[in-house]
Amino acid sequence: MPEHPDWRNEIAIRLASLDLPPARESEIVEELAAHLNDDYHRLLASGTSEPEAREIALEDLDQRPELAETMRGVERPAPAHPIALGTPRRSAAGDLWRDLRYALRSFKRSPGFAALAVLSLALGIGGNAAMFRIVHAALIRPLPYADPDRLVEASNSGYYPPGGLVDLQQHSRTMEFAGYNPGLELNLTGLGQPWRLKGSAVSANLFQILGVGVALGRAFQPGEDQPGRDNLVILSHELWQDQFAGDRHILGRVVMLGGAGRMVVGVAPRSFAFPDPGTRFWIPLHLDPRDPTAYWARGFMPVVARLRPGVSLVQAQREIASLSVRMLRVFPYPMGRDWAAGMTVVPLRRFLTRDLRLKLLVLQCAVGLVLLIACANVAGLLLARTASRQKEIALRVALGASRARIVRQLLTESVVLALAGGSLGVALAFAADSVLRSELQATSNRLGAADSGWPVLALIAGLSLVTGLIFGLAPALIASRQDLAAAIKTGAQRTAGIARARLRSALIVGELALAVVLTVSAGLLIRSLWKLAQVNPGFQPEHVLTLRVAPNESLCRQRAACIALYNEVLRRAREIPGVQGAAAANTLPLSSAVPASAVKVEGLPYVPSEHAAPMFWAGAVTPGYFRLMGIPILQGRSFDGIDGEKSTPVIVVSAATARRYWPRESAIGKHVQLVWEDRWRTVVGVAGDVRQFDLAGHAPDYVRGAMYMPYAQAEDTDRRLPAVMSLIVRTNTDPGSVVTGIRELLGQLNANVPVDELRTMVSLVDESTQQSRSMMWIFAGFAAVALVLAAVGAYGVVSYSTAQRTFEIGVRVALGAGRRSVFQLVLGQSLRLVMAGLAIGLAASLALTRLLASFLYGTSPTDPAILIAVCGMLAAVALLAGYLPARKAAAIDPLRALRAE
Amino acid sequence: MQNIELKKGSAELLILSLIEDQPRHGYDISKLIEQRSAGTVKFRVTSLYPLLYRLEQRGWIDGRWVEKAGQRRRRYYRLTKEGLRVLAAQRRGWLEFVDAINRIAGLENA
Repeated sequence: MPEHPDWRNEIAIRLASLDLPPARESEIVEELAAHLNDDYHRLLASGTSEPEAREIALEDLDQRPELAETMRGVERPAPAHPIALGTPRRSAAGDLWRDLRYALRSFKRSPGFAALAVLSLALGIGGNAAMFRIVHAALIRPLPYADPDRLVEASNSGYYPPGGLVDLQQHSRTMEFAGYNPGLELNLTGLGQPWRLKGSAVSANLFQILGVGVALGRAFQPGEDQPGRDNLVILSHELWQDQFAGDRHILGRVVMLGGAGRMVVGVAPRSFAFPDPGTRFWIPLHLDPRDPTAYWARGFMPVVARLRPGVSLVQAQREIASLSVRMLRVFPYPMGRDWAAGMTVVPLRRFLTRDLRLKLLVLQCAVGLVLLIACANVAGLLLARTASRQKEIALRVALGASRARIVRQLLTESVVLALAGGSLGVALAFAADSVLRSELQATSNRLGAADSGWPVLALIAGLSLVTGLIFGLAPALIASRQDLAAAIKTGAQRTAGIARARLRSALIVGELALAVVLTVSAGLLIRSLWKLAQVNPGFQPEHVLTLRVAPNESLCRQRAACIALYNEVLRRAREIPGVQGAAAANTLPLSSAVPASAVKVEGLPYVPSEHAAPMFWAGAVTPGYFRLMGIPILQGRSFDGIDGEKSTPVIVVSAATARRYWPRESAIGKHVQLVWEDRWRTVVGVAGDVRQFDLAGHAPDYVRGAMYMPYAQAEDTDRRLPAVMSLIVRTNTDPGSVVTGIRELLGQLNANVPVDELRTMVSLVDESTQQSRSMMWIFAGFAAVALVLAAVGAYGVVSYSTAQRTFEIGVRVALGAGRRSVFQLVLGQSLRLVMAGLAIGLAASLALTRLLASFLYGTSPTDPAILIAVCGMLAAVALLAGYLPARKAAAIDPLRALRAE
Repeated sequence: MQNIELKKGSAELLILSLIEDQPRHGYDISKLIEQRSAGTVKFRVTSLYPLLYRLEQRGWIDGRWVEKAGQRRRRYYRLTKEGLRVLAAQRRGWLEFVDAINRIAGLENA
């Protein structure tokens, strides 16, 4: 049955307005044409004339409602975009899969590019992940206490005495208070070797306030911080394991702590580390109102509190201020008004991480910059790559791929790169974790345990995707917007496109600028460390060995016993072969310990109700200490054997103290008094300044001076003779050789005295620069990565654009341009980029390095020497990156360059 | 007056029942309807094919191009399992409806 020729046409016209997909349309046309044809031939067979049969058949097609209208409800129009070649059906998953395979294939073709991009990203992402892992553990992860957001610390600017704590507990309507003594150390004896353990004396409700239960036994119960009921102890999980082998029958056992028997009532959970991870035991506070001195004048401690339900932080802050002011009237002695003035509450987490927060945030920002540089770098690489793939892209567009389709393909490639970089970054992050952690550990013991990797893995996945999209988007958009005809006709060489060139230059300038910021930071920290290494600590650390001797405090209840013990120790230590001299002191320089006592200074008006008394760093040293440590006596004399317990009380003050309090006269013969004493101590000497707290000369700002007391006349803040002393031995050989002798000696004198913290003074000096060194190393690492990335990026952009200009350069040379001017032309291009990068980077540095100020010693954040040095270094690196392409350009053979087109 | 739904439903019923026993192409279906109703019911191209496509989209019928020697290829429609189920249900519905109409009409005549 032949088909009437124009059925198809007639049908197609009537369907045209539907805009159906071509394949579907032709199917419908064919089916309907067959129908009309059948009808037509039936009519012919029944004797109808041809024109009439055609008319009738077509009539069927022109019924109302029209065909297009009835079809519209059933058939879908074709998609707005033509379908790209090789994608017969539109399915998101199928497209993605195709894009992925395509991406992998194209990376296989240019492995160098892929490796460079993945490595850049791995460095950026890995560094961020490693840093974030630490930040998360320290600053973000909730504290391991019940409802930790309701916990506050109420001792931001001052501590409360035991009586003050009880007063707060009784009168606060907004908070429930618990107190804890953070720096307690006691000897654990009776188990063989004696141990000096860190612990905390806490109010009976501490565990309840924190919302932490014990792993074994029970927590303290109300009233167990009262005299007579307080001889109890809770062990840390670690102590329980180490010293008691995890004995489950430990409860009820009496252990000797600090020379007194205490009954074990509980074992804390493994993770419990309040107030800090070194805490090995908790004992109840001893709250005895019948002893006003102990209750109101000693044992000042920080307090932690839980906000009562419905109370806001601001309400609590208001209340603690008024309670503290009110408390001034309750003190049995005049208390300085300024003590109460600064009292407030801050969230516990903020308090616990106060020394760490800024440092971690600065480091996280720095490593964030590294990631930005990596992103810029990869974006630059991608741009170069899309430029060389221009022909391929143009072809795909010509074959019907839409712009969105091309962008998606290119984005898939960049996300694949980023994910690969991310995976490698994971490995780097976990490898870097221990390094970073050990570098930072020196700063703070509050880093917390390592996280499980999950938050970090989530971060990496997110970072990879986001970075992939960020650095891929611009190149993809630019690549997809191009002049088809031009690209196909002339090939990839000369249609570089202004947008692309601009973007690449901007990326390099940005990279260089960021690298400047990191390098300036690293430079400042290096200079700061160098300055620190030049600091004269005020003593001579060489050949000095120190160790801590820690008898129970109770030993010194009879002062004579303690004095005799140390006399004997020193006398016999001097007899050990190799020992030149021996002395003892209550603290060592650079140890971050602050044995401060409130003093009255003769001639200085002191109004107790106005101000707290000035605090002096108060050393207790045996005769011979100054000579042994190499601390010069600038005026007067040092101590000697005649400054005994019963003789006239004397002190030596530091040079800075003498200048501060007696600026126009000699300090010798002046008087200072510990606030609770009624006798004056006479200044007999002025000693050279010593970095007592740390090498940088920091000290808590409440410390206004430094003085030394002869050991026999000394009193600590608890008004006792210091029991725990550091033994200082100067040797004429290797300090390590006398250790055994000294240990034996102490063991013979008193087997219950633990000896620890054995080290040389030199290592103590080293440790004091540890914090600066860790910061410096981390920044130097970041800066090195940044420099390498920026150099590679600059090299890439210049050599690429030189390659693009081969034709142009060929023309120039052919027209008589010398090699020299070609060289300058290309180098000039890199110079312009470097200059812009440096200018922006310097401006950014000036704005940003202020954040570093608190980590710097003796170095201004805008130190010109560093800024100049960094500029020089970066310019050198960038010029080197520009030199190679410039030489290559100068060597271009004009004939070949022109023929290539 | 018959409502639209009913008309639509009846057209579906007609098509489904016509291809119940054997697959048929569109022209065949339209001629069978015309013949069996003695010209009373007539499906035009403009309404028949959209309806076929709709039924196909619903999965009640399945159209396939069939080539026979010496002939142009035609699209044959056959009933799917789902279509069979729908046909049974529509038949029941139709019978109930007709039954109801008859009873009402019968009551009025009585």
